[in-house]
Amino acid sequence: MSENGSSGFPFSKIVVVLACTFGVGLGLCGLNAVLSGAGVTRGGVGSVMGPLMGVVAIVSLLAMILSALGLVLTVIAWVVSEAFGLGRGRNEPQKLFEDRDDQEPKDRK
Amino acid sequence: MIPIGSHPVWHPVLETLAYASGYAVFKWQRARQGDVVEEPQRWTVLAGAAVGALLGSRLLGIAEQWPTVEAAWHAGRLLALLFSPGGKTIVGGLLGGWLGVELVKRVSGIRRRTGDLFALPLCVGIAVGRVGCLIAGLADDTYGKPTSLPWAVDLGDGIGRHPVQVYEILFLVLVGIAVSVKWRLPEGARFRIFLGSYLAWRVAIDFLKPQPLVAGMNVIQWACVGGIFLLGLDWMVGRREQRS
Repeated sequence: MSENGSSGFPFSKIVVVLACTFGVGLGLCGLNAVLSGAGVTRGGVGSVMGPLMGVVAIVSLLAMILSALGLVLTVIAWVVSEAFGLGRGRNEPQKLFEDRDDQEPKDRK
Repeated sequence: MIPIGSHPVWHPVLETLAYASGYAVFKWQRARQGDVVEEPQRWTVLAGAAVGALLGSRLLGIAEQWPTVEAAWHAGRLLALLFSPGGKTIVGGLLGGWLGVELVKRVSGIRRRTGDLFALPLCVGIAVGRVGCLIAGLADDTYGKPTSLPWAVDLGDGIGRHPVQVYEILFLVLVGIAVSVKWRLPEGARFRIFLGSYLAWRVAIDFLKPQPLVAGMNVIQWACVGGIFLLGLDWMVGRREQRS
């Protein structure tokens, strides 16, 4: 697997950014607001934090959902791109003339 | 007793700062020392590390609170627990990231040891993140056991506790210095020194944390023991390959 896949698309960079976004989103409190009604809390976190409502909660929830979806789709696209070699060679420079061993540049001695 | 209180809102801010500072140190070090792999391969390695770390830290973070997992299982709320906030561990992130990198390297055919450039950035990133853990206080599951020592911290419940996060920051400063010294070491040794010492440290320091125990140690300590065993195996395989 290469950085840009076979298609020249920067899959690995996108994966890194999305994974970090998801990680930070998970640490935020968006889902706490949603799940507080279900009584699902870990290790007393809910009792100390309480549901943090408002803009931060909504933004973190959106960040989590979008980054999780993006992460799954990007990894699938990357694997497919590598497996089938989509667009392979598209970015490689074309050779107009074949190299010949007997043709050396004049300045090389 | 030093009053700190519990301010969980700051945890994600410091966590983001931890990622940013770790990446900044990584870039600075890479520009200064160079790299054993080309940039495209480095990004592939980083992607494997990021996904592996995410999965590892989450899975071990949930496993750490096994009584909560058990209760959620019986109540049929396991899926809701999986997506509940918090619940990430550094040890899970390190082990998951390490396995993710090894997997990606195998698939990509990268044979060089790529971890040395991660050792110092991880020290810096974890140290910054631990400031967030300390400020988050009781909302974070990383606080210490009660103590009467003069440097005990009050996280808002009036009980003096070991500032285990500060102990860890000091430890990381020492490890950071050790991996930065220009000793002539084999490729990959700096990362293994960092990982081995951090895992051993966590086995020791987690005895000062009030976590649910399984056979005398918490889940993270058992994971650290497993990680040290894997590291030993990896070292032996590496030596055998060098000889042959």
